[in-house]
Amino acid sequence: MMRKLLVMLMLLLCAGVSRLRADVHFQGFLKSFAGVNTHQLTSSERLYSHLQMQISGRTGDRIGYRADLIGRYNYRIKDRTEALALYPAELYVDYYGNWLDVRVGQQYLFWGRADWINPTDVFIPWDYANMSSDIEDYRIPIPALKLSIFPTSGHWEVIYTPRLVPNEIPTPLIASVTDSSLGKSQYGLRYANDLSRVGWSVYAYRGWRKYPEVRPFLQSLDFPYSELTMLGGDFIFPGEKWAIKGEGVINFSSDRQGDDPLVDNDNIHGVLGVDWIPGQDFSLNIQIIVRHYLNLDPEAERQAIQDLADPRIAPTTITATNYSFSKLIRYNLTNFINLQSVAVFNMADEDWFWLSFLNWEIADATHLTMGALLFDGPPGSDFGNSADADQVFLQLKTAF
Amino acid sequence: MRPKVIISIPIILWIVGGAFGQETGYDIMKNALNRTTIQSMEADLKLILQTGTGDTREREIKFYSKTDPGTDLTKMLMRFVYPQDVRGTGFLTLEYADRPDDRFLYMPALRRIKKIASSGSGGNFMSSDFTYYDIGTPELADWTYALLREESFDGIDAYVIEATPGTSQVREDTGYSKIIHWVAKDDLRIYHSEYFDQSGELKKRLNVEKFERVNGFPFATEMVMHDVIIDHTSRMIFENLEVNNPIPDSFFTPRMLQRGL
Repeated sequence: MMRKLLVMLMLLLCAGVSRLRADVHFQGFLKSFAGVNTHQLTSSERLYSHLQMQISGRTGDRIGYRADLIGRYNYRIKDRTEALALYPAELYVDYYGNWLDVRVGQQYLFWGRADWINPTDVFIPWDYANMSSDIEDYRIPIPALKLSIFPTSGHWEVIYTPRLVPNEIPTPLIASVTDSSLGKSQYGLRYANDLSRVGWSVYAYRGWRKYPEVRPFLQSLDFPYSELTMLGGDFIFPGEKWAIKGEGVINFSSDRQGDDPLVDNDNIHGVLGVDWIPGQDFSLNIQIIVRHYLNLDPEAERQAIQDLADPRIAPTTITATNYSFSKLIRYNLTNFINLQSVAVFNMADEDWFWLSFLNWEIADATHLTMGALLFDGPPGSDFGNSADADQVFLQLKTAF
Repeated sequence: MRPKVIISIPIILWIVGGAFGQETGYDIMKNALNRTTIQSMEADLKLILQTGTGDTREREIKFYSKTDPGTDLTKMLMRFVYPQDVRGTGFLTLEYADRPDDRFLYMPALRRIKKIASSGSGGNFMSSDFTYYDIGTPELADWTYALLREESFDGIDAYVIEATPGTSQVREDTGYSKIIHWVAKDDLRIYHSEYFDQSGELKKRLNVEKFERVNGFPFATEMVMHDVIIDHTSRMIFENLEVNNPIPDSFFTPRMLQRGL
């Protein structure tokens, strides 16, 4: 309750400050979302209204700041005090120097040039229970210090985060993850050159996987987060109506010998894709994704999992090299209506997900979105596990 | 062919004539294009898009451009101001002499800068009826100009000049088989144009509804492009126009694009 009051106070303060200071900008949006599980059409899966307010501004030429505060009312919760959630999204202060920019505070950190699937995008977690068209819903900002250094060519990024924030996964099994697994730092370094004919970056990261390992521990399950070291790179080669881009990493896990069946082996993860933009009204992105596990003995790992004899841990398809494909289509049906469609297909398990929606700009800054999110695949596969979570949804959103 | 980027938009319309003794369309256009003197520009740009049924949407953009007088290469940075759902979206274009333009898009909703394909000059500008080519400065050598006639049009004595692509590449890139310009005799401003698609059909009409004097020259500050095939109209309005103010090169970088409004 105290936390909610504090957030409310911050919102009022933001609104007040924005009225007093001309160099402070205040904006936000209000949306209502209804999602219905296609397997249980009589009850809504997700039904909420979401108010997001942003205050941003500058103090002179050197200091900037931003705060995004969210109020969300979940209509599926009967208790009105419980139904209302108030929380900050981004909260940070910027310093702009001549050759150095510094950002301190809660922020989004994104790496990579591929679409949707970014092997280098390792800092911030996903909220898989809250997928929507807004990044504030499905990605979770984290406290971090980011230094951006601008020498005469290219730029460096140095990132430190004091704690690990794991993915939110809509599985009751994972819901019991305790905070004891947190309090772990992450470090990252990136060098990028965007102004050459081929834009490219190289990356180094030391931190933690965002998925827990499901590890039997006495009568319960423990969920440790294993260490991860990543070295990677990406590139984009743009033409007039196309762009070729790729992104690849080598992940060094905590199972260097490959003998722990519950931890990912060291692996190489890469994405190669092409954007095709034949006209203003249509664009297509297709990508092939490859993950190759090193030191992997599929039969030994499968046997080791079976030897655990724990029904809560089912063996899945284990192959040394996995291929996937993704596509992303944007198509303007009319001036104010567009269609977007994303799909991913995994070759090994033949599982897939497909998200498509129509977006209608019904007035300036107001959009009606309707779509569907579908999963399918064999039990135990990435998307097969969500086969019961198929959803159709509708969202009305207006910005101010 | 090297189409110029957006910010040279009024340059093609900023047709400044002094000696009006030209007899050919080529001479008139050469005289006009060689008289431009804009090296930097800042302005607020409003786009009003209207369908045939009267449904309208507005876009407001703040833009900056800078042209190197030695190389004639242009840098341009543009930020959406309205509507609020796309406020802060930024677009940066950097021209090079020996390779395709660099284009960067900053989407605040995604918190990312993306280096993107240049999409060609025939792509529409901000979903309007203006293409990047329409609002750029054509290379004189890319087109063949013919003076069709002299007539009074909309009460103005004008030269009527037909521009046809000099090569099939120009035709393919622009999507036009010809463009007819009405050029006022008194100051060589282009106040009306008609664009014909590759099949030779009339596709669009441009009317310049307002000129203002900027640094002593007539400058097109309000114009309407009507796509007669889909019956869609785009009105482009320039406000708070300032030219030749010093803008440092460091302003036209991905770093500044991300910094936002």
